Amino acid sequence: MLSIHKLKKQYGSHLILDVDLLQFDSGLYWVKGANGSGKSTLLKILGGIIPFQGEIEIGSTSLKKQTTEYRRLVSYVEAEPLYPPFLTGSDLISFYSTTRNASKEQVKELTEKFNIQYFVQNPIGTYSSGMVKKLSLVLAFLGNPKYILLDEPLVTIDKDSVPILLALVRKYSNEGMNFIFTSHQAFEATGLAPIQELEVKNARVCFR
Amino acid sequence: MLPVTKVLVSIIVKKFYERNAGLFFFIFYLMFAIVEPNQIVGFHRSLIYGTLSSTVFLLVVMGVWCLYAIKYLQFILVEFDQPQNKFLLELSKLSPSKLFWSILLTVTLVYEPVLIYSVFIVFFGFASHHYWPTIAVIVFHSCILISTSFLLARRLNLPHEKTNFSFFPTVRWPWPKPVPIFYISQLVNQLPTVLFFTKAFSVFAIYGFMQIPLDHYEPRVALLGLLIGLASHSVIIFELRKFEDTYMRFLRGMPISLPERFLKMALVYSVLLLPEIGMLALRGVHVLDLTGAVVFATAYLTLIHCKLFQSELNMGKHTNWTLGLFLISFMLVLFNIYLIETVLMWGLAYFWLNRDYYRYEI
Repeated sequence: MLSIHKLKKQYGSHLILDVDLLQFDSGLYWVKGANGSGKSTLLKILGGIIPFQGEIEIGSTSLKKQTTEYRRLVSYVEAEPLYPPFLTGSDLISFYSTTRNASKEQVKELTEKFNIQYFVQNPIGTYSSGMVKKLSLVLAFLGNPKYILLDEPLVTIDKDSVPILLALVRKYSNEGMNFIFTSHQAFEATGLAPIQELEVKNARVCFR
Repeated sequence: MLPVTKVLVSIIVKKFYERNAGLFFFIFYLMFAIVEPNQIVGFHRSLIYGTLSSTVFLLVVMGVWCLYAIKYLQFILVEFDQPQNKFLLELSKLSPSKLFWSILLTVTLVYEPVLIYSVFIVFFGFASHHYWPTIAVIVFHSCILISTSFLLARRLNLPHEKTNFSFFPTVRWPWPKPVPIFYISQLVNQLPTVLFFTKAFSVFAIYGFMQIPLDHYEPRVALLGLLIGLASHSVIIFELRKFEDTYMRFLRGMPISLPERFLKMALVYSVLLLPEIGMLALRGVHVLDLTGAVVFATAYLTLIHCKLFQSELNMGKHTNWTLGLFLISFMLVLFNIYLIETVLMWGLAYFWLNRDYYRYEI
């Protein structure tokens, strides 16, 4: 279980998140909210990317106390990821595979599913934003994280890739992985169910 | 003043003097403040006389001017590449001669401190009938100004050349790339000019210091040269931190421990120092002193990198801080207590990284 205790996040004097207690059990979660409400900030905090006040734990593994262990349990992808343009997709896949102990079979499966094997040897600087997004999704699934945090996963990828992504989410979810998404697109229409909805509003995060 | 020159002065010239205010203060202190006021004229007359009457001394002085030219050229090229200065590419729509003269004026203003001192050299040279060295000084400055202006105008006219142009051969790394290679690749691929000029300046500074004639072996001379070279790395460190914040954000979410991150960072800088290590070894620095110098230099650069996790990236603050560290280190090397400083720098660097890495707001 991923639990948040007494979380506070401010940008200057602007309070963006103020969560007393929030728990994500197993399953799929869809975080909704208006632009600037703090959805992406919440995911970045859960991903261990930005500082915050409070405590976050997965089971008994604390993000602040067991930073490396915690990071092994989560995988976070930004809405518009940026990678060094001179590296190839393969460079990054190798790097992630090493740090997350991903098998060659898993790499093969994911690159083929997302159909990125044709350009993955080229420098990332030559990719379109959709290609970068697909690469980032492959990276997110690598290894065996407990929680995969996807910020706007449906943005910039083409129509054909959406069902592939959803099928992968279903498959990995059945194998015990948990997902937290933010999205402005309706997940009800994707057939991804059961999905639990949350809303970020006035710095609070509540289940709907 | 033409509108174009006005823009170039505010973007390049003012910024150059603001960034290097500390360096100018240091040089001014060395040239004027350490001499008794009643001996200043005599001191500079002797200095100028020495420059004009000895070919070796003249070449050394020209070498120092060359370093200054490399420094401003590197600065301007980096400024041209800043996203907020991309509009300067509009200048390429000017006629070639107009563009050249605008840049020549900008470069001349940046080169002014050297030119002002050289006016006295030229005046004294003609008055004391040292015609050939005086003409050599005039020709040298003309060549520096014209060649750097030409190079800068070319960069504005042909910005696309940058991607195809590299001082370094492209080497394909056949194995999975470790993190330090990401950083080195960023410099080699995206900032080859900055890397080349920094390394050239640094190696040349060591070489220049080791030309000082001494009657016995003195490793501190090499260290002072190395220290000046290290100070020139401040732009590289800043650019690597910017690279981290822009393209390496994903690294923060990776399961890598802080000691490992620290070692990887130190490894990046020790690899970057290979040319300096080579120069020190070639100039006959003893193995033990060389080892000490490498550990000192790596700690110096790593410390500056770790300092940049304390607050939002700000070039002005960064420059002031690096200058402060340079001045302190200069004194500690002079007093031969740099080994204590090395230990302190390693400790402080790790302490800062441990305290600030995850507190830093991307």
